[in-house]
Amino acid sequence: MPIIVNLDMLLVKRKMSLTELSEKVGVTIANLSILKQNHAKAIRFSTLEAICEALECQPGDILEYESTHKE
Amino acid sequence: MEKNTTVVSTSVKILKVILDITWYLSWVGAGLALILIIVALSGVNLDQLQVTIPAAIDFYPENTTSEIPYADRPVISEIEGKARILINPERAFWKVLVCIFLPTIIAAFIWGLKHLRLFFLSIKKGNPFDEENPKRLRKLAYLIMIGGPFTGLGLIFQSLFILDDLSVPAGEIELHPDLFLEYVVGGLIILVIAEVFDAAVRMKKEQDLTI
Repeated sequence: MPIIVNLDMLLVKRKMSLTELSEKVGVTIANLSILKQNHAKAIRFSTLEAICEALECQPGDILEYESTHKE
Repeated sequence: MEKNTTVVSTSVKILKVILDITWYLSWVGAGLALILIIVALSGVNLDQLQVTIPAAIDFYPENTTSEIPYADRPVISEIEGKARILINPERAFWKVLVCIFLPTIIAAFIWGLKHLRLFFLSIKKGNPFDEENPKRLRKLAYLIMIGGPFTGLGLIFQSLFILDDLSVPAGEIELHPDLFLEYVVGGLIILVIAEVFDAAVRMKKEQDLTI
């Protein structure tokens, strides 16, 4: 999947644990773990908004596009 | 809403009972088939016994009092239209029937029923869109699509094999080949349903992985 979730990097930067984020955002640790490990197929705007608010960042800090086509 | 839930759970319970009874009866059938195989191969004298088998033959007797010319040969039982054959189990043909056709049909039936029960079990557990279910449905579809014509071919084969040796009361006899193509249509319908389930499984997976 060419969309990469940089949640683990942001958590380290903010010195926040997944449990803490889970409590702030209201998403289960299991689901955050799926997101962190790049296994998620989609993310709701409401979830993205809550994560951005909790981590004080922009959606672009969490999501990154990496092209799969080699030039 | 409450009423609907009760109806579903009752139908699920009834289906479970039906499937369970069929499952255990099929194993009883398998046990009986095993006994038949042992009897057929052991050389037990069964001269006095007559067994009725289905055949791809139509029979139209001239009158109801037609006498059977040769009582020691396989005999057409007096059914107007689609006939059945009375055969003595001492004949070699009977052994082929019991040792090859019967176990194949019972094994295929049990195999299909096993997949149907597993499919039903996943529905009962509240997970009808299990990844295995489309595969199970496809297996069932192929089994039905192959099983129907296979049974039809078996009946034609056994009728051809027995036709020359048949003791026929006065009347008309016709070979009536039937490949049970309606089973192929039934199998195709199940294949389409399997594709629908496959799409549903993909959608559920995507839904589950939406955070």
